[in-house]
Amino acid sequence: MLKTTKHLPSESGAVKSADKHFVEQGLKQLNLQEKGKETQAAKLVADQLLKKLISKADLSSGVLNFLQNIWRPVLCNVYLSKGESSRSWKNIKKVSSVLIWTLSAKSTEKEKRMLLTTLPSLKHALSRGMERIQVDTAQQEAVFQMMEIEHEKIISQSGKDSTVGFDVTTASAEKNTDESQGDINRDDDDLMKLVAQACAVDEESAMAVDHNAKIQNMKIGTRVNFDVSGTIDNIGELYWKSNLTGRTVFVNTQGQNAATMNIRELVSELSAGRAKILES
Amino acid sequence: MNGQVNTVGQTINDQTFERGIALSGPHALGVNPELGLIAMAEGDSQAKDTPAHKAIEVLLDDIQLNLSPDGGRTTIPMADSLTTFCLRESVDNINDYLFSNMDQWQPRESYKGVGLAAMLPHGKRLSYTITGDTGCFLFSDNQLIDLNASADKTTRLGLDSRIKPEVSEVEFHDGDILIMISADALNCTGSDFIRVTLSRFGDNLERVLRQINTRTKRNGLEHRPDLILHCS
Repeated sequence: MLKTTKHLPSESGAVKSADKHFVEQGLKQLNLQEKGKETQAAKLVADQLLKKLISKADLSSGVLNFLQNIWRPVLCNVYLSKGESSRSWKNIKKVSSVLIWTLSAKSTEKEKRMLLTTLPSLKHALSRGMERIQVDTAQQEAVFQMMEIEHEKIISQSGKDSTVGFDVTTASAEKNTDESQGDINRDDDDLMKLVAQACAVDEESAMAVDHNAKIQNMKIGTRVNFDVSGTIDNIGELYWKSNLTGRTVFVNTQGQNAATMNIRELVSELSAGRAKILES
Repeated sequence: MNGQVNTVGQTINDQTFERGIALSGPHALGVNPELGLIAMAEGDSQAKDTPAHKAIEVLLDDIQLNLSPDGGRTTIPMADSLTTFCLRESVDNINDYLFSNMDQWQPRESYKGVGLAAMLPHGKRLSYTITGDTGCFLFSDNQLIDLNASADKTTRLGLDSRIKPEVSEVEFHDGDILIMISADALNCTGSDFIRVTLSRFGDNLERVLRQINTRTKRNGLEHRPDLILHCS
Protein backbone atom coordinates (compact mmCIF):
# COMPACT_ATOMS: atom_id res chain seq x y z
CA MET A 1 0.00 0.00 0.00
CA LEU A 2 2.82 2.27 1.04
CA LYS A 3 4.66 1.45 -2.08
CA THR A 4 1.57 2.06 -3.95
CA THR A 5 0.95 5.18 -1.94
CA LYS A 6 4.48 6.31 -2.58
CA HIS A 7 4.02 5.93 -6.24
CA LEU A 8 0.62 7.48 -6.29
CA PRO A 9 1.70 11.11 -6.47
CA SER A 10 4.00 10.62 -9.43
CA GLU A 11 1.55 8.30 -11.18
CA SER A 12 -1.20 10.71 -10.36
CA GLY A 13 0.95 13.60 -11.71
CA ALA A 14 1.63 11.69 -14.89
CA VAL A 15 -2.01 10.92 -15.25
CA LYS A 16 -2.90 14.54 -14.58
CA SER A 17 -0.32 15.68 -17.11
CA ALA A 18 -1.66 13.21 -19.65
CA ASP A 19 -5.17 14.34 -18.87
CA LYS A 20 -4.18 17.96 -19.23
CA HIS A 21 -2.49 17.22 -22.54
CA PHE A 22 -5.52 15.24 -23.64
CA VAL A 23 -7.87 18.05 -22.64
CA GLU A 24 -5.69 20.68 -24.32
CA GLN A 25 -5.58 18.66 -27.51
CA GLY A 26 -9.32 18.16 -27.34
CA LEU A 27 -9.90 21.85 -26.82
CA LYS A 28 -7.57 22.71 -29.68
CA GLN A 29 -9.43 20.30 -31.90
CA LEU A 30 -12.74 21.72 -30.78
CA ASN A 31 -11.43 25.21 -31.45
CA LEU A 32 -10.25 24.17 -34.89
CA GLN A 33 -13.62 22.57 -35.55
CA GLU A 34 -15.33 25.71 -34.33
CA LYS A 35 -13.10 27.85 -36.49
CA GLY A 36 -13.73 25.55 -39.41
CA LYS A 37 -17.45 25.88 -38.83
CA GLU A 38 -17.16 29.64 -38.50
CA THR A 39 -15.15 29.81 -41.72
CA GLN A 40 -17.72 27.69 -43.47
CA ALA A 41 -20.49 29.89 -42.10
CA ALA A 42 -18.64 33.04 -43.23
CA LYS A 43 -18.19 31.61 -46.72
CA LEU A 44 -21.84 30.64 -46.84
CA VAL A 45 -23.00 34.10 -45.74
CA ALA A 46 -20.63 35.80 -48.18
CA ASP A 47 -21.80 33.55 -51.01
CA GLN A 48 -25.46 34.22 -50.20
CA LEU A 49 -24.88 37.97 -50.12
CA LEU A 50 -22.97 37.94 -53.40
CA LYS A 51 -25.53 35.69 -55.07
CA LYS A 52 -28.28 38.09 -54.07
CA LEU A 53 -26.36 41.13 -55.28
CA ILE A 54 -25.17 39.55 -58.52
CA SER A 55 -28.73 38.67 -59.44
CA LYS A 56 -29.61 42.37 -59.41
CA ALA A 57 -27.35 43.49 -62.23
CA ASP A 58 -25.87 42.31 -65.48
CA LEU A 59 -22.21 42.31 -64.47
CA SER A 60 -19.16 41.88 -66.66
CA SER A 61 -16.79 38.96 -66.21
CA GLY A 62 -14.18 41.36 -64.80
CA VAL A 63 -16.55 42.48 -62.04
CA LEU A 64 -17.68 38.92 -61.32
CA ASN A 65 -14.06 37.88 -61.11
CA PHE A 66 -13.38 40.68 -58.62
CA LEU A 67 -16.41 39.79 -56.50
CA GLN A 68 -15.52 36.12 -56.40
CA ASN A 69 -11.77 36.27 -55.95
CA ILE A 70 -11.19 39.48 -54.02
CA TRP A 71 -14.39 40.82 -52.49
CA ARG A 72 -15.63 37.44 -51.23
CA PRO A 73 -12.48 36.95 -49.07
CA VAL A 74 -12.94 40.53 -47.80
CA LEU A 75 -16.51 39.71 -46.75
CA CYS A 76 -15.37 36.51 -45.06
CA ASN A 77 -12.61 38.40 -43.26
CA VAL A 78 -15.00 41.00 -41.86
CA TYR A 79 -17.58 38.38 -40.91
CA LEU A 80 -15.02 36.28 -39.08
CA SER A 81 -13.12 39.09 -37.38
CA LYS A 82 -16.02 41.36 -36.45
CA GLY A 83 -19.05 39.11 -36.32
CA GLU A 84 -22.42 39.13 -38.01
CA SER A 85 -23.95 41.68 -35.65
CA SER A 86 -21.03 44.12 -35.90
CA ARG A 87 -21.31 47.51 -37.50
CA SER A 88 -18.37 46.65 -39.75
CA TRP A 89 -20.27 43.74 -41.26
CA LYS A 90 -23.32 45.88 -41.84
CA ASN A 91 -21.10 48.50 -43.42
CA ILE A 92 -19.35 46.10 -45.73
CA LYS A 93 -22.75 44.81 -46.86
CA LYS A 94 -23.82 48.35 -47.64
CA VAL A 95 -20.62 49.03 -49.54
CA SER A 96 -21.26 45.85 -51.53
CA SER A 97 -24.81 46.98 -52.30
CA VAL A 98 -23.67 50.41 -53.38
CA LEU A 99 -20.95 48.87 -55.54
CA ILE A 100 -23.48 46.72 -57.38
CA TRP A 101 -25.82 49.69 -57.67
CA THR A 102 -23.08 51.73 -59.34
CA LEU A 103 -22.51 48.90 -61.82
CA SER A 104 -26.11 48.54 -62.86
CA ALA A 105 -27.63 50.41 -65.77
CA LYS A 106 -28.77 53.96 -65.07
CA SER A 107 -31.77 55.17 -66.99
CA THR A 108 -32.03 58.70 -65.63
CA GLU A 109 -29.68 61.63 -65.40
CA LYS A 110 -30.40 61.83 -61.69
CA GLU A 111 -29.08 58.31 -61.16
CA LYS A 112 -25.98 59.10 -63.19
CA ARG A 113 -25.33 62.13 -60.99
CA MET A 114 -25.71 59.98 -57.92
CA LEU A 115 -23.29 57.49 -59.38
CA LEU A 116 -20.65 60.13 -60.08
CA THR A 117 -20.76 61.53 -56.56
CA THR A 118 -20.63 58.09 -55.00
CA LEU A 119 -17.49 56.95 -56.80
CA PRO A 120 -14.70 58.63 -54.77
CA SER A 121 -16.05 57.32 -51.45
CA LEU A 122 -16.80 53.94 -52.95
CA LYS A 123 -13.23 53.68 -54.17
CA HIS A 124 -11.96 54.55 -50.70
CA ALA A 125 -14.26 52.02 -49.04
CA LEU A 126 -13.26 49.28 -51.48
CA SER A 127 -9.61 50.09 -50.95
CA ARG A 128 -9.99 49.79 -47.16
CA GLY A 129 -11.80 46.51 -47.63
CA MET A 130 -9.06 45.13 -49.85
CA GLU A 131 -6.39 46.25 -47.38
CA ARG A 132 -7.96 43.86 -44.88
CA ILE A 133 -6.78 40.91 -46.94
CA GLN A 134 -3.50 42.51 -47.99
CA VAL A 135 -4.41 43.12 -51.64
CA ASP A 136 -1.36 45.03 -52.88
CA THR A 137 -1.50 48.48 -54.45
CA ALA A 138 -0.88 47.24 -57.99
CA GLN A 139 -3.73 44.75 -57.76
CA GLN A 140 -6.01 47.38 -56.25
CA GLU A 141 -5.11 49.73 -59.08
CA ALA A 142 -5.99 47.04 -61.63
CA VAL A 143 -9.36 46.61 -59.93
CA PHE A 144 -10.03 50.35 -60.01
CA GLN A 145 -9.05 50.60 -63.67
CA MET A 146 -11.49 47.82 -64.48
CA MET A 147 -14.23 49.53 -62.42
CA GLU A 148 -13.45 52.84 -64.08
CA ILE A 149 -14.15 51.38 -67.50
CA GLU A 150 -17.37 49.78 -66.25
CA HIS A 151 -18.56 53.06 -64.74
CA GLU A 152 -17.71 54.96 -67.90
CA LYS A 153 -19.88 52.52 -69.83
CA ILE A 154 -22.75 53.13 -67.41
CA ILE A 155 -22.38 56.90 -67.65
CA SER A 156 -22.25 56.87 -71.44
CA GLN A 157 -25.30 54.60 -71.73
CA SER A 158 -28.46 56.22 -72.93
CA GLY A 159 -30.75 53.17 -72.82
CA LYS A 160 -33.66 52.45 -70.53
CA ASP A 161 -32.34 49.32 -68.88
CA SER A 162 -33.74 48.36 -65.55
CA THR A 163 -31.94 49.35 -62.39
CA VAL A 164 -31.45 47.38 -59.22
CA GLY A 165 -33.65 47.92 -56.24
CA PHE A 166 -31.19 49.82 -54.06
CA ASP A 167 -33.23 51.11 -51.18
CA VAL A 168 -32.01 54.65 -50.80
CA THR A 169 -34.61 55.46 -48.15
CA THR A 170 -33.56 52.57 -45.97
CA ALA A 171 -29.94 53.49 -46.35
CA SER A 172 -30.70 57.03 -45.22
CA ALA A 173 -32.66 55.80 -42.24
CA GLU A 174 -29.84 53.47 -41.25
CA LYS A 175 -27.45 56.36 -41.56
CA ASN A 176 -29.44 58.44 -39.09
CA THR A 177 -29.80 55.56 -36.66
CA ASP A 178 -26.11 54.83 -36.78
CA GLU A 179 -25.25 58.45 -36.21
CA SER A 180 -27.55 58.66 -33.21
CA GLN A 181 -25.73 55.73 -31.66
CA GLY A 182 -22.49 57.67 -31.72
CA ASP A 183 -19.09 55.98 -31.62
CA ILE A 184 -18.81 56.05 -35.34
CA ASN A 185 -15.52 54.55 -36.38
CA ARG A 186 -13.62 55.39 -39.54
CA ASP A 187 -15.22 52.62 -41.57
CA ASP A 188 -18.64 53.90 -40.59
CA ASP A 189 -17.64 57.40 -41.45
CA ASP A 190 -16.57 56.32 -44.91
CA LEU A 191 -19.79 54.49 -45.42
CA MET A 192 -21.90 57.34 -44.17
CA LYS A 193 -20.27 59.56 -46.73
CA LEU A 194 -20.76 56.87 -49.32
CA VAL A 195 -24.44 56.37 -48.65
CA ALA A 196 -25.08 60.05 -48.13
CA GLN A 197 -23.46 60.80 -51.45
CA ALA A 198 -25.34 58.01 -53.12
CA CYS A 199 -28.56 59.51 -51.84
CA ALA A 200 -27.87 63.13 -52.50
CA VAL A 201 -28.01 64.95 -55.79
CA ASP A 202 -26.21 68.06 -54.75
CA GLU A 203 -24.71 70.93 -56.56
CA GLU A 204 -21.34 69.24 -56.77
CA SER A 205 -22.69 66.18 -58.55
CA ALA A 206 -24.63 68.31 -60.99
CA MET A 207 -21.38 70.12 -61.70
CA ALA A 208 -19.58 66.81 -62.33
CA VAL A 209 -22.23 65.79 -64.85
CA ASP A 210 -21.92 69.17 -66.48
CA HIS A 211 -18.13 68.78 -66.73
CA ASN A 212 -18.54 65.30 -68.14
CA ALA A 213 -20.82 66.56 -70.89
CA LYS A 214 -18.46 69.43 -71.67
CA ILE A 215 -15.49 67.09 -72.01
CA GLN A 216 -17.41 64.68 -74.23
CA ASN A 217 -18.09 67.56 -76.59
CA MET A 218 -14.70 69.18 -76.26
CA LYS A 219 -13.15 69.86 -79.66
CA ILE A 220 -9.55 69.28 -80.60
CA GLY A 221 -7.68 72.49 -79.84
CA THR A 222 -9.67 73.32 -76.69
CA ARG A 223 -7.43 74.83 -74.06
CA VAL A 224 -7.52 73.81 -70.41
CA ASN A 225 -5.74 75.52 -67.53
CA PHE A 226 -4.42 72.74 -65.32
CA ASP A 227 -3.47 75.01 -62.48
CA VAL A 228 -6.03 77.74 -62.10
CA SER A 229 -3.86 79.65 -59.65
CA GLY A 230 -0.67 79.07 -61.61
CA THR A 231 1.01 80.48 -64.67
CA ILE A 232 0.33 80.29 -68.38
CA ASP A 233 2.80 77.38 -68.63
CA ASN A 234 0.17 75.08 -67.16
CA ILE A 235 -2.24 75.59 -70.01
CA GLY A 236 -2.71 72.52 -72.14
CA GLU A 237 -4.32 72.24 -75.53
CA LEU A 238 -6.42 69.18 -76.30
CA TYR A 239 -4.36 67.60 -79.05
CA TRP A 240 -5.77 64.12 -79.23
CA LYS A 241 -8.76 62.25 -77.83
CA SER A 242 -10.45 58.90 -78.11
CA ASN A 243 -14.21 58.75 -77.97
CA LEU A 244 -14.28 55.00 -77.47
CA THR A 245 -11.89 54.81 -74.53
CA GLY A 246 -12.13 58.33 -73.11
CA ARG A 247 -8.39 58.94 -73.23
CA THR A 248 -7.24 62.53 -73.83
CA VAL A 249 -3.83 64.03 -74.55
CA PHE A 250 -2.95 67.66 -73.89
CA VAL A 251 0.17 69.42 -75.12
CA ASN A 252 1.80 72.60 -73.88
CA THR A 253 2.62 75.64 -75.98
CA GLN A 254 5.88 73.98 -77.05
CA GLY A 255 3.95 71.04 -78.46
CA GLN A 256 5.17 68.70 -75.72
CA ASN A 257 2.92 66.29 -73.89
CA ALA A 258 1.47 68.17 -70.92
CA ALA A 259 -1.02 65.60 -69.68
CA THR A 260 -2.50 62.26 -70.66
CA MET A 261 -5.64 61.39 -68.76
CA ASN A 262 -8.99 59.78 -69.16
CA ILE A 263 -12.27 61.63 -69.00
CA ARG A 264 -12.96 60.61 -65.40
CA GLU A 265 -9.66 62.01 -64.22
CA LEU A 266 -10.33 65.22 -66.11
CA VAL A 267 -13.82 65.48 -64.60
CA SER A 268 -12.23 65.04 -61.20
CA GLU A 269 -9.70 67.82 -61.88
CA LEU A 270 -12.41 70.17 -63.11
CA SER A 271 -14.78 69.34 -60.26
CA ALA A 272 -12.05 69.92 -57.69
CA GLY A 273 -11.33 73.29 -59.24
CA ARG A 274 -7.76 72.34 -60.10
CA ALA A 275 -8.44 72.72 -63.80
CA LYS A 276 -10.60 75.00 -65.89
CA ILE A 277 -11.71 74.86 -69.50
CA LEU A 278 -10.77 78.14 -71.16
CA GLU A 279 -13.28 79.68 -73.48
CA SER A 280 -11.92 80.17 -76.97
CA MET B 1 -4.34 53.79 -111.14
CA ASN B 2 -6.46 55.22 -113.95
CA GLY B 3 -8.54 56.91 -111.24
CA GLN B 4 -10.30 53.62 -110.61
CA VAL B 5 -9.86 51.68 -107.37
CA ASN B 6 -7.57 52.98 -104.62
CA THR B 7 -8.18 50.40 -101.91
CA VAL B 8 -9.14 46.76 -102.26
CA GLY B 9 -9.45 44.27 -99.47
CA GLN B 10 -10.61 40.73 -99.03
CA THR B 11 -11.02 38.32 -96.18
CA ILE B 12 -10.88 34.55 -96.10
CA ASN B 13 -14.63 34.35 -95.63
CA ASP B 14 -15.60 37.09 -98.09
CA GLN B 15 -16.88 39.36 -95.37
CA THR B 16 -17.89 42.80 -96.52
CA PHE B 17 -16.56 45.89 -94.79
CA GLU B 18 -19.11 47.39 -92.42
CA ARG B 19 -18.22 50.88 -91.27
CA GLY B 20 -14.69 50.19 -92.45
CA ILE B 21 -14.29 46.89 -90.59
CA ALA B 22 -14.35 43.31 -91.84
CA LEU B 23 -13.99 40.32 -89.55
CA SER B 24 -12.13 37.37 -90.87
CA GLY B 25 -10.84 34.13 -89.33
CA PRO B 26 -8.33 35.25 -86.76
CA HIS B 27 -8.14 38.73 -88.25
CA ALA B 28 -10.01 42.00 -88.23
CA LEU B 29 -9.37 44.27 -91.19
CA GLY B 30 -9.95 47.99 -91.20
CA VAL B 31 -9.93 50.63 -93.92
CA ASN B 32 -10.62 54.32 -94.13
CA PRO B 33 -10.40 55.00 -97.88
CA GLU B 34 -10.88 58.73 -97.32
CA LEU B 35 -7.77 59.04 -95.20
CA GLY B 36 -5.93 56.13 -96.82
CA LEU B 37 -5.69 54.15 -93.59
CA ILE B 38 -5.37 50.39 -93.87
CA ALA B 39 -5.03 48.12 -90.86
CA MET B 40 -5.07 44.48 -89.89
CA ALA B 41 -5.32 43.06 -86.37
CA GLU B 42 -4.59 39.49 -85.61
CA GLY B 43 -6.03 37.86 -82.49
CA ASP B 44 -7.78 34.69 -81.48
CA SER B 45 -11.25 35.83 -82.12
CA GLN B 46 -13.71 35.82 -84.95
CA ALA B 47 -16.54 37.92 -83.65
CA LYS B 48 -17.46 41.43 -82.65
CA ASP B 49 -16.36 42.78 -79.28
CA THR B 50 -13.23 40.71 -79.31
CA PRO B 51 -9.67 42.05 -78.93
CA ALA B 52 -8.82 42.16 -82.64
CA HIS B 53 -12.14 43.74 -83.56
CA LYS B 54 -11.89 46.28 -80.73
CA ALA B 55 -8.34 47.21 -81.73
CA ILE B 56 -9.48 48.05 -85.26
CA GLU B 57 -12.62 49.80 -84.07
CA VAL B 58 -10.66 52.05 -81.70
CA LEU B 59 -7.99 52.73 -84.33
CA LEU B 60 -10.49 53.77 -87.01
CA ASP B 61 -12.42 55.94 -84.57
CA ASP B 62 -9.29 57.59 -83.15
CA ILE B 63 -7.84 58.39 -86.56
CA GLN B 64 -11.13 59.66 -87.95
CA LEU B 65 -11.67 61.87 -84.92
CA ASN B 66 -8.17 63.27 -84.67
CA LEU B 67 -7.22 63.68 -88.31
CA SER B 68 -10.47 65.12 -89.50
CA PRO B 69 -9.90 68.48 -91.20
CA ASP B 70 -11.94 70.51 -88.70
CA GLY B 71 -9.38 70.15 -85.91
CA GLY B 72 -8.49 73.41 -84.16
CA ARG B 73 -4.93 72.80 -83.03
CA THR B 74 -2.83 75.92 -82.64
CA THR B 75 0.39 74.58 -81.15
CA ILE B 76 3.73 74.36 -82.89
CA PRO B 77 4.14 70.96 -84.58
CA MET B 78 6.05 68.44 -82.56
CA ALA B 79 9.00 66.31 -83.59
CA ASP B 80 6.55 63.85 -85.13
CA SER B 81 4.18 64.71 -87.91
CA LEU B 82 0.58 65.03 -86.72
CA THR B 83 -0.27 61.73 -88.42
CA THR B 84 2.52 59.85 -86.67
CA PHE B 85 1.58 61.47 -83.38
CA CYS B 86 -2.06 60.44 -83.76
CA LEU B 87 -1.14 56.93 -84.81
CA ARG B 88 1.24 56.57 -81.87
CA GLU B 89 -1.38 57.80 -79.40
CA SER B 90 -3.95 55.47 -80.88
CA VAL B 91 -1.69 52.43 -80.63
CA ASP B 92 -0.84 53.32 -77.00
CA ASN B 93 -4.52 53.80 -76.37
CA ILE B 94 -5.36 50.41 -77.87
CA ASN B 95 -2.64 48.73 -75.84
CA ASP B 96 -3.94 50.30 -72.62
CA TYR B 97 -7.50 49.43 -73.50
CA LEU B 98 -6.77 45.79 -74.32
CA PHE B 99 -4.54 45.43 -71.27
CA SER B 100 -6.97 46.96 -68.80
CA ASN B 101 -9.79 44.80 -70.16
CA MET B 102 -7.72 41.64 -70.20
CA ASP B 103 -10.12 39.72 -67.95
CA GLN B 104 -12.95 40.50 -70.31
CA TRP B 105 -11.52 38.71 -73.35
CA GLN B 106 -12.92 35.23 -73.57
CA PRO B 107 -11.75 32.58 -73.38
CA ARG B 108 -9.32 34.23 -71.01
CA GLU B 109 -6.84 31.32 -71.10
CA SER B 110 -6.24 31.58 -74.82
CA TYR B 111 -5.89 35.37 -74.93
CA LYS B 112 -2.44 36.10 -76.28
CA GLY B 113 -2.72 39.75 -77.14
CA VAL B 114 -3.20 41.33 -80.53
CA GLY B 115 -0.82 41.88 -83.42
CA LEU B 116 -1.68 45.17 -85.11
CA ALA B 117 -0.42 46.60 -88.37
CA ALA B 118 -1.50 50.01 -89.62
CA MET B 119 -0.31 52.13 -92.53
CA LEU B 120 -1.40 55.69 -93.11
CA PRO B 121 -0.05 57.85 -95.95
CA HIS B 122 -0.06 61.63 -95.62
CA GLY B 123 1.34 63.86 -98.30
CA LYS B 124 4.75 62.57 -99.29
CA ARG B 125 5.14 60.47 -96.15
CA LEU B 126 3.85 57.18 -94.86
CA SER B 127 3.36 56.57 -91.13
CA TYR B 128 3.14 52.97 -90.08
CA THR B 129 3.25 50.72 -87.07
CA ILE B 130 3.54 46.95 -86.95
CA THR B 131 3.31 44.56 -84.04
CA GLY B 132 3.12 40.87 -84.86
CA ASP B 133 3.97 39.09 -88.09
CA THR B 134 1.53 40.60 -90.58
CA GLY B 135 3.25 41.26 -93.91
CA CYS B 136 3.49 44.99 -94.66
CA PHE B 137 5.10 46.19 -97.87
CA LEU B 138 5.60 49.43 -99.71
CA PHE B 139 5.95 49.06 -103.48
CA SER B 140 7.74 52.12 -104.80
CA ASP B 141 9.69 52.61 -108.03
CA ASN B 142 9.51 48.89 -108.76
CA GLN B 143 11.09 48.12 -105.42
CA LEU B 144 9.29 46.14 -102.73
CA ILE B 145 10.21 47.40 -99.27
CA ASP B 146 9.44 45.05 -96.39
CA LEU B 147 8.36 47.38 -93.60
CA ASN B 148 8.19 44.53 -91.12
CA ALA B 149 11.69 43.22 -91.87
CA SER B 150 13.39 44.58 -88.77
CA ALA B 151 10.41 44.50 -86.41
CA ASP B 152 10.19 42.29 -83.35
CA LYS B 153 7.45 39.95 -84.52
CA THR B 154 6.80 38.56 -81.04
CA THR B 155 5.54 41.82 -79.51
CA ARG B 156 1.78 42.01 -79.16
CA LEU B 157 -0.58 44.64 -77.85
CA GLY B 158 -2.65 44.19 -74.71
CA LEU B 159 -0.26 42.09 -72.67
CA ASP B 160 1.88 44.74 -71.01
CA SER B 161 0.86 48.32 -70.33
CA ARG B 162 4.49 49.48 -70.54
CA ILE B 163 5.23 48.57 -74.14
CA LYS B 164 5.48 51.43 -76.58
CA PRO B 165 5.14 50.12 -80.13
CA GLU B 166 7.24 51.96 -82.65
CA VAL B 167 5.59 54.24 -85.19
CA SER B 168 7.84 55.09 -88.13
CA GLU B 169 7.76 57.23 -91.24
CA VAL B 170 9.11 56.66 -94.75
CA GLU B 171 8.82 58.54 -98.01
CA PHE B 172 5.69 57.90 -100.02
CA HIS B 173 5.06 58.99 -103.60
CA ASP B 174 2.11 59.20 -105.92
CA GLY B 175 1.49 55.77 -107.43
CA ASP B 176 3.18 53.89 -104.60
CA ILE B 177 1.27 50.82 -103.46
CA LEU B 178 0.79 49.49 -99.95
CA ILE B 179 0.25 45.80 -99.34
CA MET B 180 -0.90 44.27 -96.09
CA ILE B 181 -1.12 40.49 -96.07
CA SER B 182 -1.62 37.88 -93.36
CA ALA B 183 1.47 35.89 -92.38
CA ASP B 184 0.13 32.54 -93.62
CA ALA B 185 -0.70 33.97 -97.03
CA LEU B 186 2.70 35.62 -97.27
CA ASN B 187 4.34 32.26 -96.66
CA CYS B 188 2.40 30.88 -99.63
CA THR B 189 3.27 33.67 -102.02
CA GLY B 190 6.67 34.99 -101.09
CA SER B 191 7.70 38.60 -101.49
CA ASP B 192 9.33 38.05 -104.89
CA PHE B 193 6.00 36.99 -106.38
CA ILE B 194 4.30 40.05 -104.91
CA ARG B 195 6.98 42.30 -106.37
CA VAL B 196 6.70 40.79 -109.85
CA THR B 197 2.90 40.87 -109.73
CA LEU B 198 2.86 44.52 -108.73
CA SER B 199 5.36 45.39 -111.46
CA ARG B 200 3.13 43.78 -114.06
CA PHE B 201 -0.36 44.59 -112.79
CA GLY B 202 0.20 47.50 -110.41
CA ASP B 203 -2.27 49.64 -112.32
CA ASN B 204 -5.09 47.22 -111.51
CA LEU B 205 -5.31 46.28 -107.83
CA GLU B 206 -8.19 43.87 -108.38
CA ARG B 207 -6.08 41.91 -110.81
CA VAL B 208 -3.20 41.87 -108.32
CA LEU B 209 -5.64 40.44 -105.81
CA ARG B 210 -6.70 37.68 -108.19
CA GLN B 211 -3.09 36.83 -109.02
CA ILE B 212 -2.22 36.48 -105.35
CA ASN B 213 -5.33 34.38 -104.75
CA THR B 214 -4.36 32.00 -107.52
CA ARG B 215 -0.82 31.75 -106.23
CA THR B 216 -1.79 31.03 -102.61
CA LYS B 217 -4.32 28.44 -103.73
CA ARG B 218 -1.74 26.72 -105.89
CA ASN B 219 0.65 26.67 -102.95
CA GLY B 220 -1.82 24.95 -100.69
CA LEU B 221 -3.61 27.73 -98.82
CA GLU B 222 -7.14 26.42 -98.44
CA HIS B 223 -8.79 29.79 -98.08
CA ARG B 224 -8.45 33.15 -99.76
CA PRO B 225 -5.87 35.30 -98.02
CA ASP B 226 -6.66 38.23 -95.76
CA LEU B 227 -5.27 41.05 -97.82
CA ILE B 228 -5.51 44.81 -98.31
CA LEU B 229 -3.99 46.81 -101.16
CA HIS B 230 -3.92 50.57 -101.32
CA CYS B 231 -2.60 52.95 -103.93
CA SER B 232 -2.26 56.69 -103.49
